[in-house]
Amino acid sequence: MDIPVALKFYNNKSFDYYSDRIVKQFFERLKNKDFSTVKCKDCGRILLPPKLFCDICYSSKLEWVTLPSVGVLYAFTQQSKAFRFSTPDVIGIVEFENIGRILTRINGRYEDLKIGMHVELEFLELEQGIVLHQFKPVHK
Amino acid sequence: MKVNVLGAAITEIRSTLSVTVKEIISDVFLRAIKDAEVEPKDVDGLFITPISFAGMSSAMLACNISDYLGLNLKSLALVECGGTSSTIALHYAINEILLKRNKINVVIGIDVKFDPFEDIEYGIPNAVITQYALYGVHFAQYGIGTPIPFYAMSAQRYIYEYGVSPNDVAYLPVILRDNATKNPYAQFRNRITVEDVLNSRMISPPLRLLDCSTFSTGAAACVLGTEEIKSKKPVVRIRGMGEYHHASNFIPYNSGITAFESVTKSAYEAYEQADVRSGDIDVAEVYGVFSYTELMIYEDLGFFKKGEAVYHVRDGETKIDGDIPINPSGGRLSVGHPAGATPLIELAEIFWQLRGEAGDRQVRNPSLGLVQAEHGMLNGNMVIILERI
Repeated sequence: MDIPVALKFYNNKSFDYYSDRIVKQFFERLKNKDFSTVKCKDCGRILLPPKLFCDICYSSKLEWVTLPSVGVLYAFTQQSKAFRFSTPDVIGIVEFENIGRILTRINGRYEDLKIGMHVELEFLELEQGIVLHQFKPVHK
Repeated sequence: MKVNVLGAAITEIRSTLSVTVKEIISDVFLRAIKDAEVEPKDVDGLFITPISFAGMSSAMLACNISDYLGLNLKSLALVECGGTSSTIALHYAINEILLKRNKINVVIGIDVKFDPFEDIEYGIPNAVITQYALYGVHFAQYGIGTPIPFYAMSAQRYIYEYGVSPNDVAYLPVILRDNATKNPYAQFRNRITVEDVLNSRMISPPLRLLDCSTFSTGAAACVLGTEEIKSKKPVVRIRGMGEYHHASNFIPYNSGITAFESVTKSAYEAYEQADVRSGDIDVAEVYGVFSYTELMIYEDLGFFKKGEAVYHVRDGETKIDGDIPINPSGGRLSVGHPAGATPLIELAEIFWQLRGEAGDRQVRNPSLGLVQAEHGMLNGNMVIILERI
């Protein structure tokens, strides 16, 4: 199964239904190769993933800030049944110091990855006009 | 006011059952009230779970079932909170008795296996939509078909942080399977070895096939009543409960994934309410859907120190004749995992153990039992402590 059977059933309806206007902006910005999230103007916390308000102080005074393009690989695995990407589909959690973590796709072979390694941002353009963030190991 | 468990019934847990949802529900309902020695007209409240998380709609299922079972009720609800659904339903049912509204309540958990990959026309489009609801936008955009990768990354961190070896972890599925050979309800009853576990197909590394539970079909029902309802059978009482939900769903963004606050906090509440310590528990059933996860749950419940459960398990302490028997039923890995029903299947096992009705897998004379259930990746958790009076 090279092309995932679920691929053709993706559309923006489910995404729209379960997102919010800030999350939509997050993905819109990725289309412009801008990996950003929101920061609370009142308590200074960077929200990752972004949402409509700060879920610590509940302020809705937010500003967009650019996220680091290099993070640390916190954990990773691969899916044997993937909906959107062909298998083996490597996914992982990337950590940004003092900010938080994000689930993402990893552009690399499972066997070549290690917890704690530095990974760098890439923009993954999909056919449906969607752009996602993904990370690949930093080559020294 | 105290609440007793009066009766319980479960179906065989299998990949699929050759009967319909209504047949499964009526079956466990009628057998549970018979076990409880009460009549359908005595039932004041019915609390049930949806039939599946990703399959057919459960809208108005509770209303349909009260009609089908012919019950006039003072309370009726369909309760959904992921894997804890049936324990939240149980919590609601217990509270209605404590509030003195109801005297007898029935809780039913059910799950019908739904594999979207086996049903391209309906299953796949439905599953694509459902993943947004189940896992949220940020995960669903990456095509998360099952929760397995989340638990796999938790297991990977557990190995990394505590130096746990997959060779040692492999003893757990083997012990659980030994227990399941004594449980006719269990889906998997053939013996396995440590080598079988280590050589089984890789699903999501480090999780191999025999480290994983499986989606199953099955149901369970439990009858609760006030302490005034007399029975000739041994009395099993709810002695304490704890419930806690952390503000996260599956992968938490700002906390670890090898220890779970939901488990420690709900266990603490339950132990405190029951006025017992973890060391007082004689038998436990836990919601371990993967081998590594099950070990972390043992630790977070306070049975073992962090990172050490695997050695106690390897040494046989959790076997049926061990110091602290855990999952004498065979656990989720061998019983099978119909998520909506799983917590009540655990409760039924503890109920039978405390009554001395667990057959070949009977633990020696237990008086205090524990049931644990979770949702997400242990984002929310429930602990129930039962005692034989």
